[in-house]
Amino acid sequence: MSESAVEIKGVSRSFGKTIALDEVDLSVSKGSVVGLVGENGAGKTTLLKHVLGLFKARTGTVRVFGKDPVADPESVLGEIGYLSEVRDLPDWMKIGELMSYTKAFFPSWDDAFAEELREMFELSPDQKVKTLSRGQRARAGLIAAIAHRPQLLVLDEPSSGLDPVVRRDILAAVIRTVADEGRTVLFSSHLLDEVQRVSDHVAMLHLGKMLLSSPMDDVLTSHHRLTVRFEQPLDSPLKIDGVLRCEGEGREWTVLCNGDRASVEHCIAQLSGELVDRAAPTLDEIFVARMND
Amino acid sequence: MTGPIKALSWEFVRRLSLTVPLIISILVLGPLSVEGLFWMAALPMGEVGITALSWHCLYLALGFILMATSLVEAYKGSYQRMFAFPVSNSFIASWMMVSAILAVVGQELLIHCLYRFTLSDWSMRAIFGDDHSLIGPCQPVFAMAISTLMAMYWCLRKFSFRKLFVCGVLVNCLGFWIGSHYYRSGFLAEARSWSTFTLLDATVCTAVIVTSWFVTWRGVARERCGDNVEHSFEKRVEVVTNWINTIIFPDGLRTHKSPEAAIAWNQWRHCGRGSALASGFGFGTLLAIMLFSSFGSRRDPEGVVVILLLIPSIVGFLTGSILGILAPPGSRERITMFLATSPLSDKRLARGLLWNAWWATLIAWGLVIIFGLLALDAAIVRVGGSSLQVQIDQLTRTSHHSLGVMILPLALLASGVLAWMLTATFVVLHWTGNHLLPLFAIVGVLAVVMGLSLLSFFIDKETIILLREGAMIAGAAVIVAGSLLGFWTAFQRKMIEPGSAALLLSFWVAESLLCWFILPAQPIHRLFLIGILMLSVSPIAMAPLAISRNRHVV
Repeated sequence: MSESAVEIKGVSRSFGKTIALDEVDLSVSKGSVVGLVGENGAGKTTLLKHVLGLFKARTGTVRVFGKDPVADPESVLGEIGYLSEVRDLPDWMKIGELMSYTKAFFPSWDDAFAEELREMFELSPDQKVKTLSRGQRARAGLIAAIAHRPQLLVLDEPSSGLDPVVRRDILAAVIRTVADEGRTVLFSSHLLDEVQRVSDHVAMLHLGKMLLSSPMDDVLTSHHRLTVRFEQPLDSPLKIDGVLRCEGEGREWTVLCNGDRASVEHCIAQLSGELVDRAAPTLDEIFVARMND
Repeated sequence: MTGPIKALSWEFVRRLSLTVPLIISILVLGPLSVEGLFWMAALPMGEVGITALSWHCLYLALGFILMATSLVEAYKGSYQRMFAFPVSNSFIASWMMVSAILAVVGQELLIHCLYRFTLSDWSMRAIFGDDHSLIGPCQPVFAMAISTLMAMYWCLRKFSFRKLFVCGVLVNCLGFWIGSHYYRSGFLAEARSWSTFTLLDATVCTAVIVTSWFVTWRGVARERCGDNVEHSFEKRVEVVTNWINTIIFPDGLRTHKSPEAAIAWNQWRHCGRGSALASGFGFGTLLAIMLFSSFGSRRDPEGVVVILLLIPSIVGFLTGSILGILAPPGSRERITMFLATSPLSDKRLARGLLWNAWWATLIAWGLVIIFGLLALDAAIVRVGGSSLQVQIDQLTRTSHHSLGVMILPLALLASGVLAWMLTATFVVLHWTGNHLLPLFAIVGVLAVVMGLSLLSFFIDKETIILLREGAMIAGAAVIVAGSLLGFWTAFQRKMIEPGSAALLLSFWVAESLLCWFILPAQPIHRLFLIGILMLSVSPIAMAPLAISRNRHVV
């Protein structure tokens, strides 16, 4: 039995001249919550489609619970709950019909849990999908995705365009609950504060390349934000090894660095800089710094 | 007001930039290919029992329906934005009506010009006859019809059954008025062409257009201020369809027997029943009109057989084209994520989808045949029993019809097989995710047919017969070889069980034997038919391959 829920090795894909994925590696451990972040067009959805078997890997391999999702979609998708970014649920279906339709595919479908979720999300079984708001659609999609208690929950931009209340439902009530039951969650998002709050592991994609894939704690502790005041105003940002981003003007600058903090502080001291503040950066700041690096 | 007119016209032209050339191509090439198909089957047009006037009316109606459908889609996509522009309601109503009238009237004029200046003029004369011009009363009638349609659309946006009833009565009155010009000596007499447009006709058309404009203007004003929302047509239709669902269709809240049953139910509710009922009723009515109107004047009962085969073929083609689309139009996906992420193997997913296609074809075909039989029954009453006896005697005595009266049940059976064959072939071509593939298939077949048909003007008869037979054998061989390759690939990829493959191939062999020993045709034609019959079974093996190609993009 494989230890990883998802194992992606050396996967590349291009659409015409656009490279969507370039030799991407990603390993998702069982029971973890992995946040996949990146700019628009970074390749997040393409990567998730490889996991679902909707794209056949041209190079490299994709394994979900040790199985090839293209060769064995029945078995792999049977273990997955998926919420699509576009929420393309059939407009004409009623919530009750959607639930009984989805139930037909999953022997492990839990009627009581589905009903509990439906009541929690305040959806009526007689409501048609086309009459639902964006947030309600996301909630309906979530019921279909999690009521069979999947071993792997794949969420593609689950909170895009949703209000804070629905986002809270999805992230707090769903992702953590699933993870607390020892199951795995892989989700992509633009909302980095939420990714930081719920993820154990973060994977950062940029122009199809995997910039970073590490446990969340490691990412946060290996980056530092330093506020520095110099004796004389600086004309241009600092260029020191380990500094990802340097912002400011005149005498006061904010530096975001990665790795050996002492070495960076030493370099700053040599330039007559005084360390005013030292703090842990947010994932959002790390992301912006990495993208601009 | 040149600014808004210019901007709206630009958007209107852009929205129709693909569909209008497509419609014009269909209308220009259609008659030519029909002529070519009859020529390929060595069946002169005069002997098929369909009068030139019937073709003419059918052609005009088809052109109008295609264009009106495209216009409705174009307006539906743009009027909400139009409402946000600083223009008056009367401007919006006028602009929509004028552009629609220009589009439908211009379409026929353009096609007429294309016919006049191309080789197709020959086909035009052959099919429509010499005295049925596309220029004449049809232009003001089209203008009247499109404005009536638009008025009905806007009127029924705030729906009530009373309005629906009034609209129905008015449409029937207009239909009666148009029909009275074709049946000047009474509706039971033979139809004649409508060539003169009187002052009274012009007055009626103008009055209808002006009234339609007024209704459209009122409807636009209501829609713009959100007055229609609570009473929308969709809401009322939903009430009716919900009621029908509870009576006729299976309850979606039940437990589905299997994942395949759930897929079939989903597709059936989504598009299967709609396409089945619409094409069944639509083409059934058409079949009834054709049979009823041409029964008395037909020289050869073979016409009944041709019509019985022609209409279900169109039903099969349309059903296949509709059910083949697995993602909403305009979407970037070729299959919806909802369907693609169903935890089923490609084989089982294809099985569920095929079930729906099978039921939709069966129901559409059944409805068409019921309408056909009713029309035949009505025609028998109309021409009298003795005439029918003469027809049947002729059918059984003629050397062409060595099958005797058996030709009718066999034609019924063949029409069912043909409808399924075309549905299955087109769904599978669409399910590959490449929607150009069916188009290429149609264009390829038409190119061969039309090419050979046109070559007959320049090459001697013996050579053209040789070419025709060569094309038939080559076509049949390609179909059989391609299908066997499909069976083998599906078998190797474990997408079809050996038992199922053997059963399907046995069915094809049985069909072939029946065709070979029963049909009184030349051996070359029988071989061609045997090749074509492979398409009644091969799509079942090919469907999982097509789904796999679409679902797991390489």
